[in-house]
Amino acid sequence: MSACTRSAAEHGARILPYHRVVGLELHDNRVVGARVNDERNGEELEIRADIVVNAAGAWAGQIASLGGCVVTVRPGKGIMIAMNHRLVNTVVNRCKPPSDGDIIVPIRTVSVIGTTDIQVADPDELEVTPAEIEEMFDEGEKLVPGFRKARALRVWAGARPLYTLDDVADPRAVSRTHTVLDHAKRDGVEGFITIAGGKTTTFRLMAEHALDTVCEKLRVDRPCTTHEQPLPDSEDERFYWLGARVQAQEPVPGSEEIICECELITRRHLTEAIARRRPTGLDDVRRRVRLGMGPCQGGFCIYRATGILHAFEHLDHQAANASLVDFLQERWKGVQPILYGDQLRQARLDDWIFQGLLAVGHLPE
Amino acid sequence: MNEAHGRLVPASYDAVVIGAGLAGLTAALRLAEEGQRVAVLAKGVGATHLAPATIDVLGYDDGPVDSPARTLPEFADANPQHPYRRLSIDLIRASLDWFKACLSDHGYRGGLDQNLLVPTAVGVAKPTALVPETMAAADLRQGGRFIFVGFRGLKDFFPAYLADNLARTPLPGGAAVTTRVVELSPPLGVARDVSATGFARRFERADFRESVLAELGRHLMPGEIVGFPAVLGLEGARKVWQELETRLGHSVFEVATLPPSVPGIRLYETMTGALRRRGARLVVGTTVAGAEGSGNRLEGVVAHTAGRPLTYRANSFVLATGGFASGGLQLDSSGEVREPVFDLPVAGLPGPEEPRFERGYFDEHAISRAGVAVDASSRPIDGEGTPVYENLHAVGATLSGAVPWREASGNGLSLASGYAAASAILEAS
Repeated sequence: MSACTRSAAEHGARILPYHRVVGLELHDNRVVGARVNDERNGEELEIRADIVVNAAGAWAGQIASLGGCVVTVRPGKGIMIAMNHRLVNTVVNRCKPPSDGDIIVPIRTVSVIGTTDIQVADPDELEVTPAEIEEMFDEGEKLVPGFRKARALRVWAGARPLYTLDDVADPRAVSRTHTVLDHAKRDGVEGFITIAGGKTTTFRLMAEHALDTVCEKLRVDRPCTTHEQPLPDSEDERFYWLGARVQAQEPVPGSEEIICECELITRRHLTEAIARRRPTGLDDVRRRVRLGMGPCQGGFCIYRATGILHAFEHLDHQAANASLVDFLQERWKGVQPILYGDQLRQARLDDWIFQGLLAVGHLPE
Repeated sequence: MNEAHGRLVPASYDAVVIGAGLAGLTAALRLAEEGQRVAVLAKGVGATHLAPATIDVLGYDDGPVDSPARTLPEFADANPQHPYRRLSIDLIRASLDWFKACLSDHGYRGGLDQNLLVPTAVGVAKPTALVPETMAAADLRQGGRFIFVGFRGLKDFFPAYLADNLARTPLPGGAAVTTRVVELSPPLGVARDVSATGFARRFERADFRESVLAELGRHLMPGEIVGFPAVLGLEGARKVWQELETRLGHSVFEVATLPPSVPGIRLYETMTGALRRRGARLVVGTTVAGAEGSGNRLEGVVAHTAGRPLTYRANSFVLATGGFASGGLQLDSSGEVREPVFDLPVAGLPGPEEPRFERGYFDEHAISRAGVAVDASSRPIDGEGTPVYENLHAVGATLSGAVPWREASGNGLSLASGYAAASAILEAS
């Protein structure tokens, strides 16, 4: 995703993360812009545009309604569990009709098992239930015997943007194809389209189809070229290689400070990530370099990263403390539902570090 | 050694202690001091290497604890399942005195009547009962002007962050603290990433100390108290610390850093050294995974080492394998909690419908107090309160009823419970 936003920015786009759309500007049945709210500081901003594209995924229905249009999205909740290490080195998928917990995908340093599919009313309320977790472990055991004895690192839930015109009882029966809705033709609202349905695998095709509609409406006659353009950092057409970070350290071991030993993040990686996304908290840095995402779940790197962030961004003590405490809470959220075995052992060591050694529960105000 | 039942059987002991953390080492050393033949069997080094070597008896109740001696009675009343409920003030006091005498080379300061306040590496003023002399000048109760020293290449200590918080920490009696920071760049050769133990080894070298003294001396202002990360040497720490104080002409102290804990390693080395001098046998790298006995009397434990099982026979046994962090307690994926050595009953568990963990990281979690419940003689008991074995004792973080990382009671509980188990064994024999 960061490669996509970089590519867009290089082509002149302005990216506003952490901005919630609070309203769409309507004039004579035409959407002419959006009002957005910066979630970090509450500042409101008005953006004018010839065309507004609603690509809000599971939230597409909510955005469409701001433009006075009805788009029925049925968010389908799915949970995933990241297991420590690569239990498999290729995708392992059971040969049967799609159902819960039937696939393990190796990605970066972990393997992810998924998933469930439960229709939910609100994509912001995605509860991970113990029953879903048990189901993943049971199904995982069928895919990789001994699965329950492996270390579960983290669980999370996402919402599929399922879009259908019909009422379907089983969400898995709903097609994962996508649809471009031109609200001028559909609802009589100009300057507004919605890209609905689809899935991550086809996201660039979804974008192409949405943009074809935009171009048609703007009377621009140019063919789409995204399918011919590699994204930034992929120009050499080489795949991600698991050993890359180790290889970079091998010529002179100890020649760079390793801030996160689990994921081999150096001080330079960290400060570059901080510089690129400033001003942000550690959670954005995490997404960029996998900070705190390895087996120790931040036990050693969170203190170090907070110390580095504090110095690098000249944060005051309150901002640095908030960043540290938020990161701990954010990690805990995904860890506590699947805490057992060696991962509980690790989490308890982290408790001893943060609450015992550092006493972060008693930081000054 | 003699051959029996097809197994190699070492000579039998008066006492076998399983686990080499502070609790196990305390029980073992006290028994050895009283002339018992002791074997310590441990899977690895204990939590000494993870925790600062301070003895926190009770740092936090509802808020920071001023005097453990004054607070403990009401604390024990309010927490009837807590191990402190069975450990009297006199016993805790005796255990601290014993510890101070036994680690006289470390010059421990403080006591049960008044907690010291020492800064953590994030700048929290943390209450603790005893600190080694290398940390004593950190005591914040009188306030003072502090300078914290960081080192380029040491990623486990961020003095600016510490100083920023500490300067804003309200202290009892309105004591005033000012803080500032200096970062030094001593010669590290080609290395850019040096661990706390790596720095500690360098501090044992005179040439390294000279370069630190030369660089630091220029920065100090009269009357400043100088805080270093806890890396001031290993076995030679006392000499290093004294030399820094003398040569700088300033009070000097250490602040505990992320694991591995250099002061904890010193503590472990001193206690295991004393054990060996008393003729105790210390086996690190062995897993105890079975017991032999008849009725409610334990006769031996089976340890797996070097590819074969060995039975260690003894009159009494001490379980000091720690809590979940050390593998002394285990939770499996279906929610079952086990004590893996003797399969002892586990107390303090949440009910079947109760969640094990809360959503807030800093909340108290239902499973936190799980552990082995013991009687007045430190013996593990079943649900009816009957000892599982008449000659097995449990100590330290294995015990149920405490949340030591929140209470700042970890080393205090280990010390007092280890001391109490040894007393019970000595009384019985």
